Amino acid sequence: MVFSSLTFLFCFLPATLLVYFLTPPRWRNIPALLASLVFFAWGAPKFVFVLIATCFADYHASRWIVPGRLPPSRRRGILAAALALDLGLLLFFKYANFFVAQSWDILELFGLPPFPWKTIVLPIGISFFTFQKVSYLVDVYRGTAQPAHSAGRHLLYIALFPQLIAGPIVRYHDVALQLANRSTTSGLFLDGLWRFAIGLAKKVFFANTFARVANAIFDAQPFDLTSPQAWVGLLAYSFQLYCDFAGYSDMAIGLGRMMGFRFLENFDFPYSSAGIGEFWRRWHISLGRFMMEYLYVPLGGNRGGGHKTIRNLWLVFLASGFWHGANWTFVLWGIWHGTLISIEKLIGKERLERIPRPVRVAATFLMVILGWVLFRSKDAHHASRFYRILFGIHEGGAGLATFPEILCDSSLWLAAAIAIPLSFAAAFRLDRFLPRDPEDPDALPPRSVLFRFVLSLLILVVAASELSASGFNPFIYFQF
Amino acid sequence: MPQPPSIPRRFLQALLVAVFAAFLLLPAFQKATGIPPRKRLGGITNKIREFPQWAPKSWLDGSYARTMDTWIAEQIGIRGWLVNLNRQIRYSCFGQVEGAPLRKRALVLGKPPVLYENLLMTDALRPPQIPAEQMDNYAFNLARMQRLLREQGKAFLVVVAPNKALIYTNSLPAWAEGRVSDAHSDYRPFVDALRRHNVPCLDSMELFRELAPEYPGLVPAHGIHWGHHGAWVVWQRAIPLLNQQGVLPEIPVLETVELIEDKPAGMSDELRGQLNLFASPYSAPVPCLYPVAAPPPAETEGMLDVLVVGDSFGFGMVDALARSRLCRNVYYWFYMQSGKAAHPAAYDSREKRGLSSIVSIGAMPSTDENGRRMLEGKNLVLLVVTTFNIDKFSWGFDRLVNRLYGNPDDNPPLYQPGEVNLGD
Repeated sequence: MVFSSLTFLFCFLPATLLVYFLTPPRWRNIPALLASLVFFAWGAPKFVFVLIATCFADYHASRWIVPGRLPPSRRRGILAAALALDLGLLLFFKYANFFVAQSWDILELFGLPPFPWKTIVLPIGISFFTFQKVSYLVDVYRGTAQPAHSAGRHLLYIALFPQLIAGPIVRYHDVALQLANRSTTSGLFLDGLWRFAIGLAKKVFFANTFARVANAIFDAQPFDLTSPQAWVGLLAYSFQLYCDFAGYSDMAIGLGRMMGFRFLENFDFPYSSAGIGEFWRRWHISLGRFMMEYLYVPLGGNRGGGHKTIRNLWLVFLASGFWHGANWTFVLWGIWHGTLISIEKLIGKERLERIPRPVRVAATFLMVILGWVLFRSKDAHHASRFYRILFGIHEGGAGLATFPEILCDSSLWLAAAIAIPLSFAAAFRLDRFLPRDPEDPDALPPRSVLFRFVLSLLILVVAASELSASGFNPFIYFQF
Repeated sequence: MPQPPSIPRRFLQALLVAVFAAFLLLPAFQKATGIPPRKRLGGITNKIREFPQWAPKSWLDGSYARTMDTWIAEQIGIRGWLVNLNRQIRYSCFGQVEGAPLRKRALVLGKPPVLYENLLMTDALRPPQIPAEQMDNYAFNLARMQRLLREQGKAFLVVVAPNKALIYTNSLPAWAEGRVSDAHSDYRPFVDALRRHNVPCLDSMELFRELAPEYPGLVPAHGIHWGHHGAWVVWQRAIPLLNQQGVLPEIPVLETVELIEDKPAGMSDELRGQLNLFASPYSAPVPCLYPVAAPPPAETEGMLDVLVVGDSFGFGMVDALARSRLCRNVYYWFYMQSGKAAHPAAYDSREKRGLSSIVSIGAMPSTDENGRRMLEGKNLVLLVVTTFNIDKFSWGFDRLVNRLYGNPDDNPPLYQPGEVNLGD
């Protein structure tokens, strides 16, 4: 089920909230868990059993890996077995088809026929909830969090519907206390509604509008395009991706707040970054933190000097690229970012800061969007052709016939006029003029509460009307 | 430690939460009470009518969820209002129109109140689609078909239906002005090829251009097809062309006794119906003309048994044939995919505006057996074809006639027929 669907808005959400708030606070985990399982089963009914069974296994493993419970070697063994189960399932479901296809290519080189293989269907959200499972096991193993009080509570942490399918990746120690005890107030609920509406607007009004252009350009044969068309398509995709993913994260954070959860932020004006390192502190923050805490630091982080730091960064970005998808384009995308961040490290922060900030922001943006070509292209061959058109290395074709019509779409220009300046607001410190999330929503001035509510409702009505008039409306990050 | 909110503040927040809950529950409330009443949408058909039945298999393979999503999207009681709101916002803010959900860009806004259909507009803007050699082969086939039908005692006429965008150029949107041309369509090469091969043909495009200054509503402002008056004029002009063939006894050309102006009906109003807007300069219905035909001489009443083969312009053609009371039976082979019939001998155009007696025979694929049934007993065959359907090459009717009445081995020069377009 997707948040931006009528089924979610007018059936699932009211039913869930009604039952949730009619249940006494101490029992609210039960409706939250049941709703989450229904939410997951709606899109992937078969895999809900896999999810429950593996969560059950993780929960029982976690009880034995608490520091001091067993000798360290046995704790390590249990942790390794549990991680192998979770990561093994991820590898199987996400990468088996890819490795089989590669094997077929190798067999073909030797003139051998491909072996039979039935395509594996990817369970929705597996990349995200597998990382949460890893977070739970490692946190308990390290002693940074206690094991969940019950198997149900552990399952709720993994399956909680706002963040189940496309994040943010919530680390266990960040929400362990909230799973046990959380307060819900009308102020926090309205704050969540506001955040949900902002996310919905990003998705329905901005991402979907940019998608029309991006899809038209990227679905065409690259050599049919002209260089300016390719650049327009790339820019459109860059803002589509940002609005789509940030919109989903906003909705997840908002829904969480309605139910009393406070998830960490996932985006912070990433296109305003003045370097690749900064970009990764602002883009998909929860993934960056996860990688830092559960991969980069265990690999040694920056403790072993320059070369080892760069090697570790490379490994992290390679893993991050591969995590995004079973395709060479994602591996190349990871390598691209690994290379950029290594160069940045080699040049050094002091030298880079001598360059004026606007220049660094522009250069970072250019580097990032060049990486998005790999992210969006269906294969490396397509990406390579697209790059050649972008840089005028190949002459290009007559151009997309519908391009003038696309550019005449005034809704596209309106979306661009709003989204682009807002995306760069932090680069020029204009973000301080934008409304920030209050620490205590109950302390907001009543006028602000009323304004945010009216605007939220307006967005919901208009977005619902847009959804009624259009077809299926998936999020980009659902595929990962 | 944050201060607990004051009582008025808590009351305000609770009130806002209640309003939000009411919004979420609006569809359920509508379903229970029927308030607000459902708003009908034009130009859509629902894919799923029955509430989806749950079954373990359909649930496990995900098809239940997909069906349920579609059912909810289609059956939600406030859908009509939401779609209208969306259309109105897009129209008012961005000048965009979309015919119906999931039918992108079916409509084109002309100068108010005229609306165009996108398919026909595209046809008027695009370069010709059919190579000259193929067009010539097609005309050759139609000429042979006419000869074969004539040998069976059947008169034959090709009626080229009008493309509104090529006729009413003064009402085109600014972006299309000066860009539409006969040269951008297959219409002109088609008519030229028919004339070269002596295929009897009525060019309604030329006819409507000639009459447009006097009768601007031959294709109604909100219609795609010819209106009742337009189709009637075409039939009046077709009769002399049929008489010239000498296959049938002399058919009288009936005069128009009166033109009644009245509210538009059915196909004359179909584009306006698809706007799904609350308000616009296109929203008011534009009255149409309904011809009253002079009664035919008694001995000619019901003298014709007609088969109309064609696209959706055929509906108007059947109406005109009925209006004349010259036909005993009219069969209509819609895209050579479904059959329709009318028995209009007693039809009185003064009493009724629309032809209500056309009935569906059901699906009728273009097999030889169906062809034999449809042609049996007919003494007149009309092929009605729109400019953008020329590349469908009469949906195979010319080849079917050759198989039935000609020498099946006498293969005509080959051409590649296009796909059947059932969109209009």
